[in-house]
Amino acid sequence: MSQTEHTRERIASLIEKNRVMLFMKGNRRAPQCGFSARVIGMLDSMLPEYETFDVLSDPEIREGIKTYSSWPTIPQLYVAGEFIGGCDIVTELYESGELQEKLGVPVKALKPPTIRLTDAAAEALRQTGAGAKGKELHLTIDAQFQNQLYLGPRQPGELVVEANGIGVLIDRSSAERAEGLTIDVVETKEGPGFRIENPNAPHQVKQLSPAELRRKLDDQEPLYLFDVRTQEERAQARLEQARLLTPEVAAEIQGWDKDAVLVFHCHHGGRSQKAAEHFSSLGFRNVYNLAGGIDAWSREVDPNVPRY
Amino acid sequence: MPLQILNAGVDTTGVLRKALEAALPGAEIEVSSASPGHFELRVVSKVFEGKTRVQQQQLVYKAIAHLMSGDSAPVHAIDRMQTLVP
Repeated sequence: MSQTEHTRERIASLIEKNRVMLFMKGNRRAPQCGFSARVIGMLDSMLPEYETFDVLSDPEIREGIKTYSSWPTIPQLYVAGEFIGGCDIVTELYESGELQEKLGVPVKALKPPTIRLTDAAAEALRQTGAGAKGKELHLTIDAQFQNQLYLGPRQPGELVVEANGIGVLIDRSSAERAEGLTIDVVETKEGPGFRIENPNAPHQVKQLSPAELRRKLDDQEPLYLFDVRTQEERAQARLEQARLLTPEVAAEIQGWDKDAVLVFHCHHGGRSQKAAEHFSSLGFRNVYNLAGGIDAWSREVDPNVPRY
Repeated sequence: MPLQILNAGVDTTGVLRKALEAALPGAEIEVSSASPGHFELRVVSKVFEGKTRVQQQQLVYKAIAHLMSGDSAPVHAIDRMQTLVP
């Protein structure tokens, strides 16, 4: 059997055995890419259980799934053997309720959030012509709580929230993050601009330099250090104090006190940033990313740790 | 993110168009590029008839897969793709 054929069969078997199968970067508890995290967020809101496959752990599947699906990007969602799409299409189907239909789950009745527009903001918005037909005001909030305001025609699935006499259109995923949000106008050096204050926005992930981490460890400050890399990378170079972030460990952390100090590291700091953002979004208040990863640690703090 | 050095002088837009023309004969194809390695496509083809948007996009991706695979692929991402039935 050729290698590609073998890969095809592995993929086919995963899709066949699991009704809902998501090929992603990272795992359900610790997604390592923003797009994978968004799809996880939607699936979590609908299903108690589903299967994921971490393509970062398996280069053969990572390349193979792209050919298999004729789709160049990860994540990729399959339901009952059918390729549904990547992040953008999954989002669209979720907003319109078609994904819920495919999964056989009810579309959750969504309570429209309360949004507050200050008088100044309402006035400024009126001057832009917001609210006229085709120039409705839309508010979006992504999983990283980055906000966007724009004018345009109404999209299917959007809710309308009335705020200070202006209709604000908001999609489902954004609506779930918007309760109690305030839109104001502030003067900045570049002129007036809108400022959005969202009480639901998670605490920020803080960056920790290798030297700072070293000091914290030397001072025995209470903290938990996690390695989000693969087992293979860990065999090449490791920080003794770090625990490998397996799905089981990630599940265990979720039950911890939200004030626990969590520090994540990977090779260069990218994957661990994603993992840190994930735990931050779960409500953990003291989440750190080791800036530059184990590579920076080896360069700046401990040359005995091999670089790779 | 590692900086990608793209081969200067290679007309990737043209290569993309040729690959699409070969796979989707008679299609109306527009290719544009906003930044190196990033492209936007608009493809109008009868072949898309009766297919879902995902299936239509799969046909396009299949035609250009060889330009998107590997670390030094000339096509890094399709930022926007419109598939239409004439």
